[in-house]
Amino acid sequence: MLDYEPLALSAGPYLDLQCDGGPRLMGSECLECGHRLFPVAAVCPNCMSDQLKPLPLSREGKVYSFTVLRQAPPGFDSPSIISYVDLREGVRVFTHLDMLPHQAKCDMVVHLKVVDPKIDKFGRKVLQFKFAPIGGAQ
Amino acid sequence: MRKVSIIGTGMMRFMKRDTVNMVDFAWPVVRSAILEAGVDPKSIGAAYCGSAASGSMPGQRVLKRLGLTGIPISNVEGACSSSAIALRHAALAVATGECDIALAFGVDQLNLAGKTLVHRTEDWDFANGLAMPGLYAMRAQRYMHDYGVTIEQLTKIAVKSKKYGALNPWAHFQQEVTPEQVMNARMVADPFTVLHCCPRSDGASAVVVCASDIAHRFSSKPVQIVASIQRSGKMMTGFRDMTMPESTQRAARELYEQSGLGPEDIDICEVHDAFTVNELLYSDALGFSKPGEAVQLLEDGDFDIGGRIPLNISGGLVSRGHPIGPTGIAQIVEMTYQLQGRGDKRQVEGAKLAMTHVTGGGVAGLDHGAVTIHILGV
Repeated sequence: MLDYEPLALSAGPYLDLQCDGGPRLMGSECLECGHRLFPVAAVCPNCMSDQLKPLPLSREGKVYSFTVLRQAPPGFDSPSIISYVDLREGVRVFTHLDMLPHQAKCDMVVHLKVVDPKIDKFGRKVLQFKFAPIGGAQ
Repeated sequence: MRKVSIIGTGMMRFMKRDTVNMVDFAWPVVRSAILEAGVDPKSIGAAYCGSAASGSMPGQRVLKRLGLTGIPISNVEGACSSSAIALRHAALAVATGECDIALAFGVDQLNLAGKTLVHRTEDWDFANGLAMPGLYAMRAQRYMHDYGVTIEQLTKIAVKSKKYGALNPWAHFQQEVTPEQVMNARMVADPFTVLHCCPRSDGASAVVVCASDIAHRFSSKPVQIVASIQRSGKMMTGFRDMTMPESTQRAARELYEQSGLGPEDIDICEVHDAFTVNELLYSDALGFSKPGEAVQLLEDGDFDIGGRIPLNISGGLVSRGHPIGPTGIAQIVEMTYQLQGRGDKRQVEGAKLAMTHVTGGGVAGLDHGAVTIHILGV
């Protein structure tokens, strides 16, 4: 079982960089009820079981929605394109989009891209990945 | 349980008030509610203070100025729902017989609180750069995508809000705007310019409630709390429909079931319009319209004075302002005015049943941390 970090933001628990075939996100799947979620969790919010297994997630997803934050919170680039991206496993990931603002559309297909992390005010690495359009920013 | 009525209201103009201590602007509002009720202050059996950004014990800090101490004072935090929850608890204290008269008020001084309202480091979404305008902007983007709503239509909501705010002496913004001014204002989070967003306000609001069977001793036109509900959003990790706020929809359905009323019975409503698109989202969720059809009510003038369900005739959060803690009771005060015929230039004639709806908070995984809905009647 993975060690649980209350704030699963440091590399490892939610981002598997060593995977064959490229980096991938890691979620959790409950062994009791099958509930799936991102990021990795120590307890199931559906049935309260603490028996969860790591769940490797697809590298490709679909933009459910997005916006261009013209004044992002401290520590993030302005503008930032923030988004909820839906993955085939049935989980939704809050992420940033690596594209130009005019490219962002609901339902567009995007793929995982590891980026240089930001350091938040607590000195932790955040935002180590984004989702990018097939073919890149244009 | 006993029936409960509102017999006194206190309100002030919401605006930037960062040069005085909040206690100094809050106590006159509480005092005016007690004076309007005409109750002996010593007969108030319990007090509830809703506040989200004022630290520990704002209730005691305000009430000690008035000597309203010794009674149970409960401080309630539920983000934007704080004072609506405070009112609910005051009403429950009366309904259960704990006391005959209770006070509920809200206070916050947002302009002296931190810059970022929500910064929860344990929440993935917020730790990675989500902000409340961004969350609602994403709801707007999907609503526009799913239902073909245009930016011009959202702009009409901002224009409507400012039009009615201009009629409300308590409103933070009291100037009308043109669609061009809304469209050309500074962009915050697409599709919202700053005129689609509620301002950061400071202020206080208060009501006195009592058992309905004694209300006529104090008020010639008491307003009854016909129904009240408070819920939290459900933790969901999968594909949530962001165009349908589940906690509001669920709470409204339960409230209608409890009260035997339906959306068609409500004459006027204040919804939690922190951003323009909320009027559409919550009209659908409260059942005033079918999913995706609220924009037709907007276009037909049904959200205006004289329309089917006048919505946020106070100017709403977008124009009256949104100090967080006091917002829920500000809605209650506004609807009390309307039901008592004290709406002045914004009076909706013949309003008998009014609804207030306020959500609360950004907690990732929940559509909202809290939702509180009240139905008031005369």
